[in-house]
Amino acid sequence: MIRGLWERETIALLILAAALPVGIAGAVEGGWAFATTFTLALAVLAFWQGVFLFARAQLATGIGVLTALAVTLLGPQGLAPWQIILGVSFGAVIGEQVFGGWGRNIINTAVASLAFLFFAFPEAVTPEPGWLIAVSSVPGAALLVVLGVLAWPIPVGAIMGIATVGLLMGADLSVLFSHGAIVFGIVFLSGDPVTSSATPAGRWAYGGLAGGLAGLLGWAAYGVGAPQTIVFATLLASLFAPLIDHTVITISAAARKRRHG
Amino acid sequence: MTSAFRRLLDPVIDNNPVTLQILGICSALAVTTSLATALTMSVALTAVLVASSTVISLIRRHIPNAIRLIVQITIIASLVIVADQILQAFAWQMSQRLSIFVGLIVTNCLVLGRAEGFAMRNGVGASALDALGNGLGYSFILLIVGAIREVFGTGALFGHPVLPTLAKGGWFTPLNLMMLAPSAFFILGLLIWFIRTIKVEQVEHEGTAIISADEARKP
Repeated sequence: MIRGLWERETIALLILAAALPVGIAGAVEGGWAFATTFTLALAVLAFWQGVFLFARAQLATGIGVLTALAVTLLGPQGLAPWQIILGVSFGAVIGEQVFGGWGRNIINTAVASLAFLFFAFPEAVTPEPGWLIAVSSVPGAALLVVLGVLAWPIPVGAIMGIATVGLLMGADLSVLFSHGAIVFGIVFLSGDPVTSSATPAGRWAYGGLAGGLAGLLGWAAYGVGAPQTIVFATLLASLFAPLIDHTVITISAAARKRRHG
Repeated sequence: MTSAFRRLLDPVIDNNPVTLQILGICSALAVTTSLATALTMSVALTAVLVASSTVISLIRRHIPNAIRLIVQITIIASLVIVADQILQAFAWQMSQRLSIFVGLIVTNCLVLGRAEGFAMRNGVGASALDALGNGLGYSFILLIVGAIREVFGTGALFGHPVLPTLAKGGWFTPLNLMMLAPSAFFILGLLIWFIRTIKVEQVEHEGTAIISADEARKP
């Protein structure tokens, strides 16, 4: 990371600023239920950050607000408070804090929490965020791309991946951008600068993999607008991100060696 | 503490085969969906482990070194078949629930590990005690994981309800995740974390990091 102004919390604040319109849209659509879930998730995340701050001196980070927002937007509806506490605690501890805090984690905290909730409580109804969430994600995505926080090959690769799988399966691609979960997920979950690939070629491969998986899961299993689609696709893709980077670096090192002897 | 006592109790926490040596993980994932299956598996494995270690220790001076693994596996496999047949004869329902996992004790690294690592160069008494201790250590972990998974996955223990589930008018929603194998990984990981927080000497040193394939190939 570049020193000076660009430290970890700068990135966190920029991502939060980018997510602000989505938060407002979610609050307008979700109302009281949105507010309670969001507050509870945020409180749980703050608790675990406090625990690890004192136990392991891992600095707290503002990115927890985005995690809480993602869990509230994409998570199942009508969960009891203890279910939310359990799911978010799992994501916060297993997904983030055991690796040393945000910035060292290999899977996104919100993705870990959501995957836990989807697997643990499969009978809970999961709402599909609509076009308002999709539209409100776009300005944030533009901001993050301009500032270099979100590498543009990732969302572009993801959209190409989804479109390729969709064309192969003969699906209707025009509905893609009206689904809030897929647009929000590509920008803020798959595009998470920590858990995505970091090499130029790796970003294309990672984005394509995330999108391809989302297309497969979307059109063959959960439905393309379902939050499960993008959450599970991101979970799998981010597990492959370090391998993709390693492969890209190995190939380019071999190419350099061949070129320069 | 006498040495025999130590040999028996050491593998339960201090040198646990599952949480320290990370052996026998496969069955720890597969049979721990309920406490009853975990208990049956623990008893079967401990019995096979004690019997095989005793037998192998008895004939350890007669086993040709070049084919010792084959001899060990033959003995273990025979004992596993006996255990499997006993289970099928007296507990048919349970043997159906455990499906192939009793048969797969043959491939449990723990059994061969103790045979090769201990029984081949120690006396009969010591080998039997060591095997029993390792069996108890394995059972201890299996029962903890099994209890957690059954309570949170179904709200029951040994089939008796302990948490009032939603289906019966209570408040508890069973965690479907607990019925899937990954949950056993999480519980085992948290358990290892917990044990190593208390017993810091179990934490691996920096030097024991896994070496990469490239480093291994270096002359």
